[in-house]
Amino acid sequence: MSDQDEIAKMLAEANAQTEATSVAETAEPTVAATLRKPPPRLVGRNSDVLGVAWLNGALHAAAFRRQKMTHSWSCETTVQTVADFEAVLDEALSKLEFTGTEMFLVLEHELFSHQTENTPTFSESATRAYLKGRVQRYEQEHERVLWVSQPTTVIKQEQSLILHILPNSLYDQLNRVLLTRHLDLTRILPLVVPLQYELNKIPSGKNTPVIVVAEMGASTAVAVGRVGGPLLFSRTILADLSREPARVGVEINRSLLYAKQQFDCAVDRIWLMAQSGQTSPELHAKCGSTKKITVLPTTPIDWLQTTIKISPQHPVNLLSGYLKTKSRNRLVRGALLAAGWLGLALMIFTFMQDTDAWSSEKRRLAALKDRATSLRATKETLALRNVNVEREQAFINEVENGRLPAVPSRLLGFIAGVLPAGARLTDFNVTWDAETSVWSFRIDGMIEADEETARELITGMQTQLAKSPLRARFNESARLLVAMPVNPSNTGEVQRFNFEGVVLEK
Amino acid sequence: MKNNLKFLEGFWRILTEVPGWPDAPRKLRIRRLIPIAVPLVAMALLTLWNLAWNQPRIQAERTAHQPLLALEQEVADLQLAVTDSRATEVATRAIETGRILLQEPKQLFPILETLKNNARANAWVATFHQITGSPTAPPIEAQMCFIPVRGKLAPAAGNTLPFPSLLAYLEQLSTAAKWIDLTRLTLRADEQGRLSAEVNLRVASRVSHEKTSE
Repeated sequence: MSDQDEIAKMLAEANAQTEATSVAETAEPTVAATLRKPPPRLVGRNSDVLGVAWLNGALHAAAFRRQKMTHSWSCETTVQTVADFEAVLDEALSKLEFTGTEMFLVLEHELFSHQTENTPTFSESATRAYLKGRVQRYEQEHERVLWVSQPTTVIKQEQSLILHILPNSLYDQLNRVLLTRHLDLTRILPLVVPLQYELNKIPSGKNTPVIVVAEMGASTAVAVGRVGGPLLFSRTILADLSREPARVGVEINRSLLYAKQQFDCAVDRIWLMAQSGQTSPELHAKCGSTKKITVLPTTPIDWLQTTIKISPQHPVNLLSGYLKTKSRNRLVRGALLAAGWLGLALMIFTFMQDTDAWSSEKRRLAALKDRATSLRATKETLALRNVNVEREQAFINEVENGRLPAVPSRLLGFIAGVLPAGARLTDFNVTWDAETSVWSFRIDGMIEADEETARELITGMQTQLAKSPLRARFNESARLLVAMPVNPSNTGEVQRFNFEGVVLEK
Repeated sequence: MKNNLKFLEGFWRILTEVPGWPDAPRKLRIRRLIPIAVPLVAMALLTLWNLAWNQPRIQAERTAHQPLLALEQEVADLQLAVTDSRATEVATRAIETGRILLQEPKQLFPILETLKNNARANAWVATFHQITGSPTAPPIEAQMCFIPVRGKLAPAAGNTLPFPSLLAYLEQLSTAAKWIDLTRLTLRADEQGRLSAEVNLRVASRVSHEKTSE
């Protein structure tokens, strides 16, 4: 069920309840006009819009569906008070067979005032603050009001505005009447808004000054402006055009003079928007023969048709704030609704996934329980295997790195190679000390040379040993040379030598 | 407090707004709230069920199976620590590496005979004997030990080049098929230049722990 259908159903149910209550309470006296029980109304099409033009006592209504008028109705009696309005509204709803809820109102009423204000050319926000201050002072002197400003034109560095002021009490009364009939008032517009809309559509050149005169029940509205440009001013003449054309003509002429004087704007063409052009000769007579009068046959219903074309977000709408709030609330509600259902869907989806995951985990746990014994056996086997592998690896490392290099034979071979001529070894000893991991050696020998030469030769041999890959290091304490008693048969000198040290020291 | 109440009231109005009917009765407002309230309540209930019943139950089952899970993890860790292929590879290498060791100390005597023969081939006469009463027994976890051997070498009669032949023989010791380390070499030459040598060797052998413990 869509939102529209649901609300329609709810409203229909509420209507039925209202009807039942009114039958039960017929004996009770009516306290006030706004407590009048409305006749039952079939509510179904929420997209339909009701337009009401309440123009200084004359009331006209029309129903629209997608901006096309479906029904229209005009009240034949004068509607002055809200009580009158309430009574007439029921008849209008019945005649129009209106089943929607949205409604707009084109209002001209003695309590709905339009004041001209001139402000210095401030910024928009400063102008708004200035006007707010003016309205607050007005409210202190009178009562709370709904207000909206309509910029007109700039004259001599001053911004001219029309301040539309509607007493809150009148709005509350009207709204109460409408709410009991489930009508949602979304726009309250002064007649000048559709009037300006029509003024801008007049087939004249752009910025051509024109005056538009509109029949408005027992009064007459006058708007002066430039085509496609700003409005210069507007006024309401409390005289019926059809009954007092001469008086209206005088007032129109005054407006022409005012436009000439204040705005330096010579208007030479009058557009008369009335049901007929019978009064144009009288107007011609009062406004001067040079002025051209063009009659545009217009009925009050036409104002409603113009208004329906105007955007609901038009700035000169006394309820624009309400519309904004309504739109924001609808957005918030929609977002919450979407977030709620999306969240729920996501949560259910997540739960389903979690449940699936848990089911498979449960199956895995059950399987694990079944093979617990084999797992324990596997663990023991693997642990044993890993210990064995570790031992075998340690064994491999020990075997690969533990073998001693062939130091004794290499050292012996090296010394044999570097042994000077006339020298020979008598004792050679190389030992591996496993505890200190050091190869130590001791060499004893004899050399046939004088002491100095022997010392040089032996030192040279030591140097060669120290620089060799065996990296020999000699003990300082060992005696290098000892003179040997000379054999009487031998003529040369013989020296004993002896040195010791370590090789391949880490 | 007052602001909070106003905010809540505003929120209530937004949630329960009946379009075209700002002062709709409470009953209708509540009906408008249903589409928003249903998913929120359902989410709250689901969360409550999950936290109060479902999760504790799952947690309890997981806790009950924790030892088994730990066991499974241990098995996985053991498998990861050493792969089957690595175990096979190490075992093969250990066997191959172990071939240079005596498999048991009894195999020493043939080796010593071989050394004697090699010495003879190099024109040296050698005698070898195992040094008994090793001061340090191998540790219990050791997989190999060294058997100490002492040998005496003297040039054979007719050996005119005793020194080069001795060097060649010593080189053969270090390149033998079995692991034999020369740990001491003492070489002496007397007044007439006659050489005699003493060597200490160590021959690597596998340790048989059964026998050691016996």
